[in-house]
Amino acid sequence: MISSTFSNHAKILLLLLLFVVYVCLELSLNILLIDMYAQPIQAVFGEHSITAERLELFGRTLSGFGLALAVATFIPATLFNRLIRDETKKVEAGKPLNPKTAQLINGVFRPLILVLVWALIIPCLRIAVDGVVDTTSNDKKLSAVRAIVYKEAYLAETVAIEGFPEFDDIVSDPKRKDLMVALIPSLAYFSAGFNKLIESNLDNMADQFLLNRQEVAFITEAIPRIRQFDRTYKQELARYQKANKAYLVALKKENNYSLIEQERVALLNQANDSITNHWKSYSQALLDADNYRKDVAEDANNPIRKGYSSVKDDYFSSSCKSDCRQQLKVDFAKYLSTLKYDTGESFGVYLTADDITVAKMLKSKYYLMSMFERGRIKYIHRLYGIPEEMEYEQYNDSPQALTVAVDVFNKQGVKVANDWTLSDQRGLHQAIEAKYKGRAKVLWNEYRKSARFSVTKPRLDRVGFARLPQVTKYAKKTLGNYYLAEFTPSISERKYKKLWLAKQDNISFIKMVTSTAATAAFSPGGSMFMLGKDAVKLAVIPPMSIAASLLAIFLLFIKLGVYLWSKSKGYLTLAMLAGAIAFGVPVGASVTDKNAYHVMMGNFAEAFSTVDPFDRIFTIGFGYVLDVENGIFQTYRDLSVVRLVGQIIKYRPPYQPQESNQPVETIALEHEQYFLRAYDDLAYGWLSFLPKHYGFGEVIKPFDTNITVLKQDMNVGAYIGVRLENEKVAAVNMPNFLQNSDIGLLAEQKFFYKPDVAGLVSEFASNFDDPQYWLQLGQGDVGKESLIQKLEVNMTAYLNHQPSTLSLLNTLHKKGQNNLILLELKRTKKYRCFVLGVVDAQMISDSINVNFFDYEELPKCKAVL
Amino acid sequence: MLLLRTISLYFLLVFLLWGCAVDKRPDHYISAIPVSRSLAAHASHLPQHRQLQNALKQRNLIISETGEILPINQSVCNAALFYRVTDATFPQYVGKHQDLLSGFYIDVARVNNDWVVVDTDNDFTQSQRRLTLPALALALTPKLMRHDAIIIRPEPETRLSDLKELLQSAKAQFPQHSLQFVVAEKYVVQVEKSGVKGVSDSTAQSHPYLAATSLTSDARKRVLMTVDSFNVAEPIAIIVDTQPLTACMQVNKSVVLAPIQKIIAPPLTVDAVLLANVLPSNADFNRLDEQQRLLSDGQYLTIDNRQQSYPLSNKMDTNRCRQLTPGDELYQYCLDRQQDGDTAVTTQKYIMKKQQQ
Repeated sequence: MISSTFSNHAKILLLLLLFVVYVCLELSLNILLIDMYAQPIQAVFGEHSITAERLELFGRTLSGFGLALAVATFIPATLFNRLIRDETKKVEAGKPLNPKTAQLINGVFRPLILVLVWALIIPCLRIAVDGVVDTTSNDKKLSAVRAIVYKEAYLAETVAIEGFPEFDDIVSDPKRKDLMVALIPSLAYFSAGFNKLIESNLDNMADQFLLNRQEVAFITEAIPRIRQFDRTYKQELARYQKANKAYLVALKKENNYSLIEQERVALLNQANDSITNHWKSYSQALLDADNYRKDVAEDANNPIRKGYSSVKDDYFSSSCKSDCRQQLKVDFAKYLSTLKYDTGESFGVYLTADDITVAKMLKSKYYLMSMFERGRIKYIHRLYGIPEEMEYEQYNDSPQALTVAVDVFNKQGVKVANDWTLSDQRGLHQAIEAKYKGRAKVLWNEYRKSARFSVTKPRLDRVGFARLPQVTKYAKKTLGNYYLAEFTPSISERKYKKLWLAKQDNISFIKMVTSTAATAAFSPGGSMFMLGKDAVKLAVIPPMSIAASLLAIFLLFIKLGVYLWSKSKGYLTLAMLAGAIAFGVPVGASVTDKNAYHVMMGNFAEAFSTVDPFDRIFTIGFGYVLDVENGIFQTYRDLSVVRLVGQIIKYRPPYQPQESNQPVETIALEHEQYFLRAYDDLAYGWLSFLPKHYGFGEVIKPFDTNITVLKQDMNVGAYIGVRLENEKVAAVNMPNFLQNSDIGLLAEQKFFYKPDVAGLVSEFASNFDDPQYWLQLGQGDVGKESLIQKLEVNMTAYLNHQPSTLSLLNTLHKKGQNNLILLELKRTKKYRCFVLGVVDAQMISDSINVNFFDYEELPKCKAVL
Repeated sequence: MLLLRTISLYFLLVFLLWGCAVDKRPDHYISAIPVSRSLAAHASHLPQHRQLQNALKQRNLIISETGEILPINQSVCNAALFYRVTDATFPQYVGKHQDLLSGFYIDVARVNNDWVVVDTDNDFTQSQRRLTLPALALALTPKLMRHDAIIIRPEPETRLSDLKELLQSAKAQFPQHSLQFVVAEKYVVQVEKSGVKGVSDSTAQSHPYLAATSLTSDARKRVLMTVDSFNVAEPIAIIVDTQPLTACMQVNKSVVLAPIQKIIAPPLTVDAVLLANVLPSNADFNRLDEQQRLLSDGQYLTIDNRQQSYPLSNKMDTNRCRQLTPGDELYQYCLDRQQDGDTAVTTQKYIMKKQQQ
């Protein structure tokens, strides 16, 4: 009995323990889901994509266990009779269980079923989710895309709702932001009122996002280019103005006879002065030759004096004959004549061997002094180029004087002819003329060679310079894509930016994917098929999972309570108390908080959820769910169990610092994860026949090229799916776009070129004011089927007859680019072409957050429709 | 005694060794080059012209002995001047034209195996003159200056053999002077081979060429042009006859320098000197009598024979930026760009609004 009581206690304690473990795991899932989906889509699909998959698998495993447990425990015992061979042990209704039977059923059968069902449920949930996503209508997919757009914009804090500053407060509060961001897509998706609000604002919102991005692009790319232009422009302007000034000065001189005469007179006067001064300094230098370098001769320690002494010694040595003596004289004369001081200054004498006196009679000093003086006089004659015997009277007519004059002219840049004589006035005038002749032109040509803008004509003022074609050309080259004809060297940056922004093609990705005409493109095979799936998954699955795990915790509590009620009131009290403390208190606090979500959502429902009662109830209910979640999330987000689970699935929330040393045991866990993943994939493949079997989730091969036609106002005109075969258009699929666009658009887009068109258009024209016609059109009675089919057939033939468009399609197909966007140019048949990669949800995030152009324009695109 | 001998010997030595200092300073210095005011050779030295001559010189002009106002030299025209010869009579300045002219220009036509000097532009058959080239050479040679060049233009369509013959006779008639021949472009190289400078009679890149008739005028009978390294054609020589100054002024708008004196009100006495000082740069200086009369009305005649008022200010302000006001359309070009574009103005939140139903 004691042991039975003990085992009872142990059983309850074990159960409580397992329950706590389960609750912890569910809690972790719940919190990690919020953490994960509070991130921008690009993170969910990018750095966290594998973690997101793991989290999803973890969620399925966990809820699979819960479901399997429910199934296993709720199967009536009588069902097991088939498995029991022993008749006596079979379960009989209304009778208590045979202990052995109970043992068999509860100990073997039920656990076996639990494991089997669990194993089946894991992949089946995935299949079910995919099925749900696939069967979601195109309209709902569009709603999901809108919801995602709103979430991303909300997360990026680029959007606000009029009259609801609370939303903005929440997103700018890091504590409360995550929960709201993770769950808001479901509100945006499920609440028709909210969705409508987004829809009605989306066009303008998209334009503004685009404008923001374009402005950022302008600031980061065009502004440096403009400033680069300005630097060059200013340099060139300064260079031009300088050259212009120099040119005009030169030109003035060039044509001015009197000025040239003035210069001639001035030059002649200078030449006369120079000639006179030359003689003056020559005659003075001769006078100064007295006692030249006397100090050197007198200084007994001077190396020259010593040198002379040693020459003397050698000269008078017995071995030195006449040759040797002559050589000594030559050498000493050369030594003195070429002698230079360290400063480069010449010693200033010129001597030949004959001038060298070597004698013993007097002191060296006297011989040196006499040599220096003689050498100096010779040196002066050589220096001034005047012969020794020339007198001043001869000098004025001498070639020496002429040379002095010519030197003066040369220094002034005046080059007289070789046969010029001192009396040749005209020759000098012409030489000065020649100095200036063409000088202006030469100066100008020098400017033109060195200047980038190389302006042909001088005399332009700043206004004229600014409007030169060279300037425009350089501006075009520098600014590239950012050039507009309105650009001038003086237009202010702000003004130009405004002009540029106004001129941009506002091809907005967001606008395109949220256009009501876009619904057709969500169909299987359409260009936005993937996007639609992603959007539904992102908008519906995370919030549902979060809510489901919350519900699971709640339901398990009830189940535990029911179980303990019959077993032990004590444990029940304990468990309920613990539950109340663990969940009741934080939730209660959250609900009664002055910032409680339900109050805000109530106001929100009042303002926006006016479509139907469900919408209203859902919105308010959403507020309460937020409150409950908030209580739990705020209390337990840092719980170590959550961290541990996060570690297992290798998820590192952004607020958690990266751990440098990864625990070793995670490798083993990884292996286990890998096993589970492999099993899941295998079972998924194996069981995927189920949706087909039950007739939903038809799989369609993607088109080779998806063409999106944008009207001039940047709204979507049509989507066309094209299949290519042997470089020809094999088939065209125009999704059912008539349901959302008016038929006039078709006429506008010039798709019709065959006689059918005329008929169709005239039918439209004669009936457009007839409500019955519109009703029929709306119901698709105006030959919608036949029209589309006809169009598709005609389009195929038509595209095959447009060689340029066909070759474009083929080129794109070969490059693997399958999204072509054609932008109509001013009501012509011509289009500008853009290509886009695979359209998925990540692009939404990119087009809101990142400064990057979604579209790559094809240069020289020749698409014609 | 020995001591005395030694001392005297020493003195002798010292005397021998010592060179005496040379003094080459003159009593006074004189200018080596006489500085004289030169005037163009074709200018009048007549005493009655002296004052006017001085005034005209300030404007790049001179008066000749016959009272004709001429450019002071050809270089102020920015192109060489050639005198076009059509008969054996020459202006008074020919013969002392070294400053004014670079040489002479002759159009010749082949008539009865003779080269005849003609007075025509393009239609060489129309000419009535019967002055042959040798006869002209005879009359011209005494008047030629050392550096004169002779430009000869035989009639178009001249055969190569005739051209060669003309070349030979021209060389013989002007043996001291450089020759230039205006021929079809295809003959230019051939002409240059025989030592004569070739000028193309149609637009050419590598040679000087004779500009089309449309570029000529009454004063500017012919224009020789060349293409510079920037592919801009510019005149290198102008051929003139009776109106050298007008031709010169047509080629170079700034030949005549700006007036050195301004007039505020019409003066009481007007003489030629005053006119030389005040007439605007585009005035006709060869009609001083008429200009004298007009000046009292504040008017003058331009070279293209229009009557104009004296400009109040000689210097027009060509910089528009000094005159434009902020309201003018062009004013913006006078400003530096405002660098105010690097702050984003559009990045405010988008506010979603409920659609009014």
